[in-house]
Amino acid sequence: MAGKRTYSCGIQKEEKMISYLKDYRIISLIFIIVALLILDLKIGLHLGIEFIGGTTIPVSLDYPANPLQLSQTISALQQRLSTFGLKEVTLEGVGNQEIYITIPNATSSEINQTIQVIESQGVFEGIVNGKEALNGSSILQSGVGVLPVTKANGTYTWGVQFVVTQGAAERFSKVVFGEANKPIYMFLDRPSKAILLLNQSLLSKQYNLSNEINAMNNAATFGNSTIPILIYTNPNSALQFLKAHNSTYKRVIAYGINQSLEESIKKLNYTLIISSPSNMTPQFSEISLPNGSVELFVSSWPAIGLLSAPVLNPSITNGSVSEEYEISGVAPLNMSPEEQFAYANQQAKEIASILSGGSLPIPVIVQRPYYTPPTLGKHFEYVSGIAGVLSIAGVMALISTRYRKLKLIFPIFLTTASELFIIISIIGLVGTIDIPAVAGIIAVVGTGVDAQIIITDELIRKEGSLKMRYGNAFYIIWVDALLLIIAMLPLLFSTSLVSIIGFAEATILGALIGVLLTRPAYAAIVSKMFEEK
Amino acid sequence: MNIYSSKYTKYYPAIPIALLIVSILMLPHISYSTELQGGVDISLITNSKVDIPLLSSELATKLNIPPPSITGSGNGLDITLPNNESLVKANSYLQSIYQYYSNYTSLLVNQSTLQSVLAKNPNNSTAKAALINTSILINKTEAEIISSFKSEIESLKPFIGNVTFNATDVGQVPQIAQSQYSNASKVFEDKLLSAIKSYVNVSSYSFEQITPTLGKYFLSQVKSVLLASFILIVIIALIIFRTPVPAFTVVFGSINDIMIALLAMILLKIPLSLESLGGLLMLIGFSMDTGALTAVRIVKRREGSIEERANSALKTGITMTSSAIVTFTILFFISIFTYAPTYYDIAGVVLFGLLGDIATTWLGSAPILVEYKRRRK
Repeated sequence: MAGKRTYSCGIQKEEKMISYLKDYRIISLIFIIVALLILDLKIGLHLGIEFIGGTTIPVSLDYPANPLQLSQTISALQQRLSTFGLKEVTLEGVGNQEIYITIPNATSSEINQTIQVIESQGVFEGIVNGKEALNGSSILQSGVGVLPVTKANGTYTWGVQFVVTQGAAERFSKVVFGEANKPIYMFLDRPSKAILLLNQSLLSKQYNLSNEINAMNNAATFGNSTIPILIYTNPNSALQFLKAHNSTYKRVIAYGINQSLEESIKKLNYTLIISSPSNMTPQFSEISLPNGSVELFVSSWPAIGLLSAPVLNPSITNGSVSEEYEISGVAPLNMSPEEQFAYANQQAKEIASILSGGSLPIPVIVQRPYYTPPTLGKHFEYVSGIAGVLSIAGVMALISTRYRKLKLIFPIFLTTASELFIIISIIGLVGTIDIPAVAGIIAVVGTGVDAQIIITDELIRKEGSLKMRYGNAFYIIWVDALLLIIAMLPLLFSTSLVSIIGFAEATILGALIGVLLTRPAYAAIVSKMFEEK
Repeated sequence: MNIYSSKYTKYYPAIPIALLIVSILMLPHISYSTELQGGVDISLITNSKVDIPLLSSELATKLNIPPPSITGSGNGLDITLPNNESLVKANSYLQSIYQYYSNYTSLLVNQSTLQSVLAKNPNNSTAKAALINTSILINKTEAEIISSFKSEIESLKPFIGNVTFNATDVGQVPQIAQSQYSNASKVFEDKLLSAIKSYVNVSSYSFEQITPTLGKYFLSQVKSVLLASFILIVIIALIIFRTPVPAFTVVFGSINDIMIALLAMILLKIPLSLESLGGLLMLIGFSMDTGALTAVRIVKRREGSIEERANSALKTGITMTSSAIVTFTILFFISIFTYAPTYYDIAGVVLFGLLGDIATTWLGSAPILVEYKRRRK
């Protein structure tokens, strides 16, 4: 008889284990934990700079921005930084006049490079007949405006207005005097002390070669900064010139040169810049002069920074001084109407961008970067770890003693540990674990324990059906979670307290995971544990 | 033993209310961290033994400032100093320069637009008048920029010495003003660091300077966020409980806990900072757990007598609060023995807030709800 009972107890234990695993709440919990574990191992967790050390570069805007301008400035900065391959740089707007840029584990060269990238503005030069007519500082940022595209007689005209300072207006009128119908070459980041090595095969066959060469030399002329254009069919012919001038010039811009030529150029102490065929090929345009002849000029040549070459209207080359100008053009007629419209819009935007020097919507000033050493951080990891372990132990002891059931240690530990794991994983994968996030995690686990106590309390009672007790417990838990989430919403949507938004995110996330996942699982385990009682 | 069966139940709330009154009276004594009121924060790691009061008075004499507040444990030190007055003044002049300059550029754009309008219609009298007006404003703004610039440079004298600038193009002023300010800040930082280094071996440090404008802005944002949270809680609590009394006890519970925590901060000299703010927000979560538990059990349940329900809620609630107290006591003591001021701030705030919560919920909210339920019968 005794043997038989032991035997049936054995089966009961096994059946019980299986019944645990069949509960959908427990299954979902296990599933999520495993999924997160895999993601953690593959992607790894992001830790805030307080933990791994890093640098914060505060950036102030010249004047307060509205939310649209702020986000435009942030994305412009982000784009600039990403083209330099500066990894893992986070930007956040603070208030309406500051942006914080954080670089974890930054080396001093990375910091300097970041600051340089932020501070650099595209250098704009407008050159007429080899002389500078306009530059970036002539143009008033707030005065650059794109005019709406107008349609007249089947042509689409685009226009960009801009305003220059008084001094610049006088200089401009002097330089352009008498240059009616000539182009003003608009450069952005024109390379200095550079030689362009152009393979003749890249030139279009559309025009007479000597006219093309003439046009190209015109475009590249600018006093002492003239860029020599070396057109070669045989690379070695270029080498002679390069050899002769390697003390005056520093850079060579080229495409599609063979290995040996490359080495020879580098041996002559030039910096070699490899461009692309589309950038290296000059685009030509024709202008009909009043006397009936047609002149060829380069309208765009990205390899030397020439992005546009609008033609000077006779009304502004007669010596009059004006501070407001308009650049306009017509979309090419060989496109469909929709294409023309799109082209016109695009041209206007590009010209406006060039005139603004490719700069940010609002100028920024870089403030002193400050550095959080990782030694402070490593300490925190260690401290957090110990505190976590001890707390869970303390809580387990408390609850098991209070309810006088040692068995409770397991579900409490499992639930608390899984909540902790899930929250840390999600925040670490999707966001950053910084100090406010840690505070939020602590809050979540704390309220999680509260919930476990509420559940245990109800389920351990004798009165009422299991369903009713479960319902009672979860009513309170839902109310708790709802109140907490609502209380955190103002912080979550705050645009100025960004440094502690991590707290709100962690708390809200934790509350949701709690009510939907971990607390039901706990209830499932506890109710099964005490089913027979 | 059921404390709610006694005839003195309705007097219990006197205790939490007394605590509330004390906190309100002591509120002006609260101190603020540098992030919120502006100042200079230097955190450093050192391996030399430091006599903190001595270091404070030495720095005070050497730098000619009031004794800075220094906290530390383990091998770290946290030194807080008020902002330098001259730098603060210079900074506010710098901000004015930026403000005037942005007006200036808009005025210039207006001026040239008007000029081109006049070029086309020379007889346009409104344009003429507007142009004259604009030119006057431009001159005025230029003068303001130059005078703010002069005042800023004057304020920066202690750091950059006597510097004069020739009649500069107004367009250059913002950049020059900013770079002079940055230079002066750097001089200030170096001065502080070298003073510290003459007494302490510094292996690494972080230096953070917050201007009062930024701090004041943070503070006002903190207050608005808290206010918004409470309003939302009241609304939701009213929806859930439908009658005002339970909703009131839930909200009042949270507010009272926070006030008691603030009182503890004043007594423990924990400043209001972003970390302690985090602690206060955590308290909202915990106090609503106990508040909701009490309200639901007493008001919405029907089993047993009112007093019995209240007592059983008390048992459950105290277990909840005790487990949180266990956690934060552990965190509090760990943070004292290792250098973790962040955790010290958070744990201190939450720990005392929780102790206060016991008084607030079980001597305040529960008796009120018990009385309320009794009257409704």
